[in-house]
Amino acid sequence: MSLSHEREDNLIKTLKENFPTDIKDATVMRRSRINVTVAPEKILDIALFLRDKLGFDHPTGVSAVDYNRESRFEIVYHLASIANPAQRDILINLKESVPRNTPKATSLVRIWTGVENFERESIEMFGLQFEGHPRPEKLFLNDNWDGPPPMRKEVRFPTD
Amino acid sequence: MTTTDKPAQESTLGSPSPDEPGAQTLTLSVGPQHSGSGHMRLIVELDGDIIINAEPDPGYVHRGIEKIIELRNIIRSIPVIERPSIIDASNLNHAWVKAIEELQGVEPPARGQYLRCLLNEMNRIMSHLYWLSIYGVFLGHTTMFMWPLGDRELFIDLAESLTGARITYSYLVPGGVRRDLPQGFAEEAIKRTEYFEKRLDEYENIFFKNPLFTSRAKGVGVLSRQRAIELGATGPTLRGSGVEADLRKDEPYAAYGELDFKVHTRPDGDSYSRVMVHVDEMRESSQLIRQILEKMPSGPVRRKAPIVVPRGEAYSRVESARGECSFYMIGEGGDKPYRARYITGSYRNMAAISAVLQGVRLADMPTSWWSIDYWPVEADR
Amino acid sequence: MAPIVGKVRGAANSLLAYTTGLRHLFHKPYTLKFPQQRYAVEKGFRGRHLLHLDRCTGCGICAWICPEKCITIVQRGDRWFPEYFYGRCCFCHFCTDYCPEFALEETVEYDIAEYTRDRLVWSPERLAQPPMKKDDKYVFSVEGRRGASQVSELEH
Repeated sequence: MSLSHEREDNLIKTLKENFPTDIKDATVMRRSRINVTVAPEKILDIALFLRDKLGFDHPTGVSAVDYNRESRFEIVYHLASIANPAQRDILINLKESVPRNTPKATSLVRIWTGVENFERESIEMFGLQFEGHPRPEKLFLNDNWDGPPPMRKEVRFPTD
Repeated sequence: MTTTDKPAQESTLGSPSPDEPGAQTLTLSVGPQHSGSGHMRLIVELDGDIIINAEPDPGYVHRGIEKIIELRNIIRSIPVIERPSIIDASNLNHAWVKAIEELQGVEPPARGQYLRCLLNEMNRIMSHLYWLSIYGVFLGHTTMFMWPLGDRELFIDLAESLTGARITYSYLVPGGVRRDLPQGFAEEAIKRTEYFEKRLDEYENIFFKNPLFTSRAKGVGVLSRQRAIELGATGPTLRGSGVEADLRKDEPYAAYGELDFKVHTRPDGDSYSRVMVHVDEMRESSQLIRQILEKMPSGPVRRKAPIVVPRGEAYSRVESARGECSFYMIGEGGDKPYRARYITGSYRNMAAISAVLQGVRLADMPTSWWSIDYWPVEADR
Repeated sequence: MAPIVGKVRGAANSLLAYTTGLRHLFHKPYTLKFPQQRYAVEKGFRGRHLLHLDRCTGCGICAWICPEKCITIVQRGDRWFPEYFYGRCCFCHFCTDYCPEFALEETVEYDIAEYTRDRLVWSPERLAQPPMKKDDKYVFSVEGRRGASQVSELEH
């Protein structure tokens, strides 16, 4: 197994060439793991480019992370590629940050249908809002759950 | 109560004007009391007995595991990580320790890696057998329920002598595994896997060639290749739709890079394809167990690893029995992760349920959606 | 012609299924009649704990690592020992692994159900008792033509 990150570097280079201002940060985390931080306004264009031009057509999940000390949420789209067999192992973490007091983001369901359930979970667990989401309803929680979004950092449980 | 006063309005089919769109459909709630639904509810919209829309309604077994593992140290989390799918405990556990090891930079010894693969493959067979037996229940085939559950005992027994527990092993820890092979394990395992392959031939005769099964599975619940990819389906569901994607091959982890095995796919994307992918995988795993035992290097099984999650990010991907299981872990130097995102195969395949059930007859609903191998507990976490 | 071929093949496959099933009428069953017949677990099985009172220092590492928090440290004279609540224990035996003095050990005793909850709390003295010996044990065996079946451990 080679230790060079040639494929990863090429992907980052292509992304940076096409979106010179909108990509805030792009690094190779480790072999076949790429972190790309983008501006929230431009995420739709970059997602479309990733899907159609670079072949990342397979969504493997969406995570939300609560950085309460920095007063922001980070939404991370995990993307893999089926279309291009040479980069089956590469996983892109497409990140965007939204402020904690107005957690509004653009839904990417129209790019990848599969992220619908993951975004729904982020809505209920972190209190995020996804614009353009077809069904912004509760997924796992009770429909009549009226407590705070449980995955936020300020919610503590007495047992541990 | 007399029915003579209001005759027409009491009809269960709802609206009296049948020209209105949707007037003749019936919404049916299946579950959550495990009436062929698992611990979840399927809201099924029917036109006659054809399903025109099916929405899964999960959450009845949601336990907030992502929150729990934020509050405990990484060793204490291991039994919790296994609980979503105790029949596939080792693979889920592998994703967890792999994420931690990526952050710590600890590489387990070669023998430890082989032992991990050994238990993973045993787990894959056990999980598929359990799945197959429930498929028999949904099919109304009692023998298909009894036989796989009985043969699962072969591997439960092996796992018990290897790890000390029958299903929830807690065997993989950061840095390696907890125990070495016991005396006489290899001979016993070879005997059992060979017997199991003979049994699979018998399964072929009694179940998979049986018109009772083929007539209800072939051409039913079709998930096209394109749809499977865009919905993010994974594991046997994706391979049943003709996509040759298996993380053991695509991104070889543990000892899988040194092992020789095939990825089985079927092109049709119907229930039958998905079932046969499971069966082929069981045969492949059974051969893999013998291969692992043959190639097993000697040496230590565990390396020292601290109970610490270093600062940084990691994303581990493991091919579990139900598809890719992954952890997105963010550490900040303590003994607990800052955030550990737990994405399981069933959670991703949940999106495929509605796609598969569209246009299927109500009588074929249990077999069609169970062919996805959706485990509600694993999806809810 | 094709429908007839399909029907013949279907009938043949049905017949094959029947014969395969019927052949198994003459096999021994897998199942055990539990209270009379007991399943013999292998050495190394993670059953209930055995506490060596002489080795235990009462450091409390077992209680710290326990995922289910089922261990409390209790005082006996001037020494401290773990007390287990088996209603919560998940038998992961991390306590055994992490004990620095090797005072804990796994035993093959798995049948520890009780009628009341308070009987599930095992005091250090009860944990120190050696596991019970049980007769009539059976193991799962795979051999040749007989296939997989349960045989008595003595015969095995």
